[in-house]
Amino acid sequence: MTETALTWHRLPSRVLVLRILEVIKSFAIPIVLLFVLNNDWDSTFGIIIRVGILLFLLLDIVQKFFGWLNFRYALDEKTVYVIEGNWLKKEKSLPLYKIQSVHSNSPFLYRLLGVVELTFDTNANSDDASFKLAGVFPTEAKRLEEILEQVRHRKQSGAAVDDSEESDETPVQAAPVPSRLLYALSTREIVLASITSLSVFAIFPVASTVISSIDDFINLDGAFNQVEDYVVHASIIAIGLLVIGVLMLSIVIGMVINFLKYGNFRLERRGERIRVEKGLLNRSAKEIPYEKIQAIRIKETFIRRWFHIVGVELVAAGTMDELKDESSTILPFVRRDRAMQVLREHFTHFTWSDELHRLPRRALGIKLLRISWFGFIISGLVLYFFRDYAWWLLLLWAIIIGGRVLSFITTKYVRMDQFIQLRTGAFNVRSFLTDKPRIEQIQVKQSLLQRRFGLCTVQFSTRGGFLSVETIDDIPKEDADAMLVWFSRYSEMNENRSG
Amino acid sequence: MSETTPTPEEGVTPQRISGTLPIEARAVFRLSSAIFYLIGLLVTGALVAAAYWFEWPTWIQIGLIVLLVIDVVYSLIDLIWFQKWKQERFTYDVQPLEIRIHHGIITTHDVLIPMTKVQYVHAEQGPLLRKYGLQTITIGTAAGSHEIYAIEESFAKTLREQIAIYARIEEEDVV
Repeated sequence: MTETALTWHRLPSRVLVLRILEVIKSFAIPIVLLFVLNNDWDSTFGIIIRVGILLFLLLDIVQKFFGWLNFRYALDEKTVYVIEGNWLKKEKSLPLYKIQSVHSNSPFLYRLLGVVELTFDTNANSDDASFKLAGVFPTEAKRLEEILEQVRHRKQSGAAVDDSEESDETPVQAAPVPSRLLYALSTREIVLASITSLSVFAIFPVASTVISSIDDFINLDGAFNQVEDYVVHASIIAIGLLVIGVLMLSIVIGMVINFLKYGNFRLERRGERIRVEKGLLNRSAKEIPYEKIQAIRIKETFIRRWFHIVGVELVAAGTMDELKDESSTILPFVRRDRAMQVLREHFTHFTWSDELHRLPRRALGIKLLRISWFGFIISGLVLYFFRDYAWWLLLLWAIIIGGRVLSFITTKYVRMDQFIQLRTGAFNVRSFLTDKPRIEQIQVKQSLLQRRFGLCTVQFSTRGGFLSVETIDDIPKEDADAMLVWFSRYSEMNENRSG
Repeated sequence: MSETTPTPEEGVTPQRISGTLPIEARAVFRLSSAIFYLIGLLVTGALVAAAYWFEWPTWIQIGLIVLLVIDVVYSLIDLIWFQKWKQERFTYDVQPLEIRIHHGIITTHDVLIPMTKVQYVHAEQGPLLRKYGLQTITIGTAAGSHEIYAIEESFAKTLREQIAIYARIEEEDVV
């Protein structure tokens, strides 16, 4: 392909407006501090710093302008080409068949201007392996996604077919893959999730920190003491009402945050890909190809467990970007039975088992015997410095010991055919399911104490970064050895021979 | 990534390379940790000296001396026993289909890596290892890497090549 044969596109001109807005946004704090709150041009230093900031701002905008001017992309039927760079011209080309997934993301500013950000991801991990179109019109995004869909289609249908046929293949054949809605979050679910979120209680420490840090800047002296006086003299009912009021407020705040984050949440299946769309202000869409799924994880938090609400996330192999928290969450908070139904119907290559083994009783012994350094250090500090509060230590130790007993109760595991399923955690429980071909390595660890009890820690790693590692503590040594035998390719061979 | 089983027809006789670390490895381990501990001892010693010189409070002086004693005792135990055990208790077993590494002194680790998951094998040699003619082999998978430390140079080369053959790591771009 020569350059002339290609039609080069720039990003739409309103993207330039977007870039300038972004620059101003990133300079917002210094601008507000130096020009609004504290606008004095008297001292030399003040003048230098203000002129400096303005210069930087101008420079950044100029740079963004040339960045926009110099960024061009083009497509032919096999490859995408990108030219970019102000000082250093960089030309990239990426074969379309290598692109594994397209994510679209539309932060608030993007939505304001009616553009989306597209990220094309390949399987490789290097920086050059993915590229971004930061701001294209939705119609253009759709066109690009359709082209990719065609390439994918052609690759699948024409894997055995000769290259010569490629030229005849016209868009006629490329019927778009029907997308099927697997799950949409209802308003009720978001409300319930906000109520059952533990962060409801976080408002007290957060509020006190905020108030005291505001107090540092602006003198609130009178007001704050009045509140304290009021609290001390008020009746229990008034305090109760106050607490309930604050809790309600934090629930409402949590609800707003959850609506913004998960509003209009849709989980779709498009052929061999899973698509997650979410968000009200910042709307993002993420695609995960089925073959990249390494494991499935179900999370249950302490409170939500009582309401049978679980979160489901996929452990996927790919670039680091995908490993970021919650990006692979396919169901944020859904009733357990409905989540399992989706998993059973659409993630059929992972089979969940209902009957899991518990830990042997001696595991409880070892869990209780372990020294809690955290507990001892806190106890030591409290007993030495704040002896009046020593009663609270009972609560601390109750939580520590309770957590260990809970961890004994919740930890379960099963190895069934190709699958390994683990359930771990104490207050928050997580279940992990993967299968033998996807496990990269198994590591069995045994500490001195565990050796006495004949127990082990087993660590399973799949590909996909540190989030894909799952560890189970204190399972019997025989079971750990059996897992190693099961994982060994030699025992597999022997089975095949005998079977 | 298909799982292939080497068969005799391919000309590769399935062989098993297993063993422990050579006795020279112990010297390397001892030397490198001795350097590490020496730095630790110097820092603690300097702190003790400073505590007496500048007449810091008594409890700091006592605390620092206790720290120094612990430091000396631990360094000796580590140099005499732990480094010896580290060498003795390390075993590896490379077979055509999988690699097993067993190591650890107090906490034991048993790692099983299928050959199909091995993505790269590196050999490295620091100044200490070079002095004793040893090399460290790093075996990397998508989930992390493992080391077979301090094995004899020419043997390291064969082992590395053997793993590369078993793992079918070829000099071409695979996507």
